[in-house]
Amino acid sequence: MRQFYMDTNVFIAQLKPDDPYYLEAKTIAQQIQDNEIQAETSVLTLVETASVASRLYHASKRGEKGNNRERKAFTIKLLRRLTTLTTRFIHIAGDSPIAVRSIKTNLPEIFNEAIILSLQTPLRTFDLMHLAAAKHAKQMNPELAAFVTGDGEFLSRKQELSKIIKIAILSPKEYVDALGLKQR
Amino acid sequence: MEILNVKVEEEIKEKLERLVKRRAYKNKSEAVRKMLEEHFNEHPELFASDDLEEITEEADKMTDEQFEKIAAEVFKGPKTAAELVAEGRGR
Repeated sequence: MRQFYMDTNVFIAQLKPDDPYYLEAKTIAQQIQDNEIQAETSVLTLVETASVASRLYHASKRGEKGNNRERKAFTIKLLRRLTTLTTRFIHIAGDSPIAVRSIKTNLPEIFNEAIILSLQTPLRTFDLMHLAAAKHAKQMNPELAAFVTGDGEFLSRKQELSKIIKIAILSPKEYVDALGLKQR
Repeated sequence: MEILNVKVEEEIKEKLERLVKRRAYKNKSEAVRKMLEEHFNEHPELFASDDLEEITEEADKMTDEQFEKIAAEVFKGPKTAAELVAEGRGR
């Protein structure tokens, strides 16, 4: 249980004091820094983090001032923080034959997983990619025990999705409680 | 303005002279200047890596306290972190 897949929103929540999962996300980040637990995530999380930072900064009061340099520096610092908290980024690279017979094309393994998942349950592209990355991460690292997310869509379907990706889907609160971590 | 000595092929020189003759530009110097300006404006990506280097240095100078203050301000609002990320996932 000490190794988990971190969804993008958990990383963002620890920097958003008004978020309902702020305390739990902060506790998780602190535990990672103390080497008590380990996080893996997809390279997609890097892109999503950059996107959220850029969009939100632009729409914020700071963004109204048109301080583009600060927006860019903030985004870089945010990405750097993410890379210091994450032990491994699941890559999208690779060139394997598609799992569906009679379709002749090669594609990265994560895309393959995502297509298989789409046949099992209806989900949007990015959701499929994250779940596929988590499933792939679990295959590569059996110690990975949870997909931790604050996403309402994932959490409302966690029983169904957990069975498909073979990894428990937990909210930050459930993860902190499961590990008996003391909130900071 | 700075003076730049540039060597070009005969064919380029002739083309520039034709444009000046057609009064598209006052002289060859203006023609080259305007073309360079247009090219640089149309291709900001040529300088993106320089910019990135400077911005990275700025990020280095940002303290953790400054960073967390900006983050709290930027991410503040009624939407949760999960909702903000979900927007980018097309939800």
